[in-house]
Amino acid sequence: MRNALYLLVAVAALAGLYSVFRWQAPTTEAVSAASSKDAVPLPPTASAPPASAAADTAVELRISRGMLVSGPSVIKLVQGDPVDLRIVSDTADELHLHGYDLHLQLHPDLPASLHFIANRSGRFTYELHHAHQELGALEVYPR
Amino acid sequence: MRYILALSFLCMACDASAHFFGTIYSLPIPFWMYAYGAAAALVVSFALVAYFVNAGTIPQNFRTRDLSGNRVFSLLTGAVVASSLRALSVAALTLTIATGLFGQRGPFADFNMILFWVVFALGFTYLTAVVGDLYALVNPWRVLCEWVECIKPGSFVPRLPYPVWLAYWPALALYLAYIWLELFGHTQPRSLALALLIYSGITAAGAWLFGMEAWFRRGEFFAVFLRLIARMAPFEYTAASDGRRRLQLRQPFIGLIQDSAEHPSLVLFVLFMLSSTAFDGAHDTLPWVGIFWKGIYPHLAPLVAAASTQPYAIATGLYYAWQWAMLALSPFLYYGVYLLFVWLTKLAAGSAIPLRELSLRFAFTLVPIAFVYNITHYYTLLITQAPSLVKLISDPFGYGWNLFGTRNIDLPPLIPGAGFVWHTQVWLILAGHIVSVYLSHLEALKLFPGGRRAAISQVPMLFLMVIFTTVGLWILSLPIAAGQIVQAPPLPSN
Repeated sequence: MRNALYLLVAVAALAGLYSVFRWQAPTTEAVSAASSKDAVPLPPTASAPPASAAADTAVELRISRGMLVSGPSVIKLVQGDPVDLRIVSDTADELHLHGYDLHLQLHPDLPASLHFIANRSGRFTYELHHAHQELGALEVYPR
Repeated sequence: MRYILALSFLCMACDASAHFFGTIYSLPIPFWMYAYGAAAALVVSFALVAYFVNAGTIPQNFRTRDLSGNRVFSLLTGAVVASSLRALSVAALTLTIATGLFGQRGPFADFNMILFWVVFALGFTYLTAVVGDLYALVNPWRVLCEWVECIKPGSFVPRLPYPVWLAYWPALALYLAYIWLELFGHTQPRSLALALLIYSGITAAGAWLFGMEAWFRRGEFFAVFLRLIARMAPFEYTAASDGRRRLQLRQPFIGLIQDSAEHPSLVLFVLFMLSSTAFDGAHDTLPWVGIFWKGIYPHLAPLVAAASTQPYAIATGLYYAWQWAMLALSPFLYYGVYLLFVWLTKLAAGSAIPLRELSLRFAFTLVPIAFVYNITHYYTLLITQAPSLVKLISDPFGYGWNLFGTRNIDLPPLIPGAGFVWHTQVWLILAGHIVSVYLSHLEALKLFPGGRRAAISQVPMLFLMVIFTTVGLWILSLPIAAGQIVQAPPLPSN
């Protein structure tokens, strides 16, 4: 009887704490916006603020000699957002997005575009497939 | 400015696999969940103290129920099943090595990587926590030694008595090598096979020198590790006096306080379980990486530039040397913290028991925290990578075989949603914490009789565990550095 009481109080306390912290939690957009300031400062070209509207999030990436020279290295999205990745590389290679397992052929100086809906949440790195060079990551936050 | 430059060096150095094998798709946990987890751990811990204060002496449930007579058990541990499992285990080891050495590159090349790093290192470990020390029966290296012993008796008799001072240091050293291999070795199928061959050689040499019993008790890394994990299981296999195996059913986790750790090296082993997973979680995060590049390297840069025409290569070398040194030192750092809190426990209890002995008695109570650290970091890897085994098993060598007809079944990786992963991580860590605090209280009741005295003595241990748990949660919440590649702006001409 005493044990059951203790257990009940403990569970109630945990549940109560959880509600308090959850209620205090910032919304998804604020979280993404706040954490993007951890990213290394980049030249001011295209950045990708998370958009909760159904409009496409356009992200432009420029790759030179196997490295990302402009565009956000961490793309933050909310689950369900449609996204349009536009990439220009100065060498031929293949962009591979892990998790979604999407491939995009890249030809020298030819803009290529990858359009998809970010319906899986998580952190998905993308790389230059043939060069085995990791370029950045797609962070999709749950709704 | 320098930081950006340094970061670009780092990313030139890191290749696509930021992790040993297979990318982890989970996001860092949001701050509010991390804060909740830490607060909840603290609250629950104090609730447990309150419970124990008024409980007097709790009869510790060491009752075991002998299941050996059970028909199912007799069948499962009969000679046929046992021999089959042992043969299967040796076959798996042989296949892992053979496919690495003789397999073809290509889409089927990852067979031995998944078999070792995912099925064995993760899957079998988690299985052991549930079913007990199965490894004692199916250890492939031990089985091989026993087969050789059958053919040529006297091969593995002890030629030297195992020195008392050597204790568990070989297992700890091998654990360090294993983690290094996992984090920095960037193993490919071939190098994994070679590493396993080397490990087999070391095991054979140890067994040849000190005898099978002694080496597989203290020196063989996997045996020591899995025996520790198996203490959490409700099943205990004991060798009865008539030579047969007996199965005892016991309360889960109680195996951790049935015995005390034998030697400080085993305590370090347990702490390395904690610190290696913490290191794995932290080592590629921005704050950690920044410690070297922002804090240490700027002091070294002028020396490096003066010493060589290839400063980038040297900088990278120094960076990795620093990472490896931190990994090797981590268990000792944790040990220092642990000893401090055990000493505070001794003070709080007013106990005359020497510090060394107390540190041995409480060591195993940390295993649940170490275990949930491990699960929360790696379980998603098990889920995402295991499906590809269905395809790979048909063509382990990549020669174009189709042994089971599954060669063309392309199962997509099972990626659990980020929200699900976050919640399971926080709740698992909390559960592990609660178990550890509870066990530690039971141990205190044994050592410091009197409910109130035991409960007060546990306040320092409680804080130690809250610290470990909070660090574990904090690491899960850190932003990950890998992938943040920036081209350095052009250097101003000097």
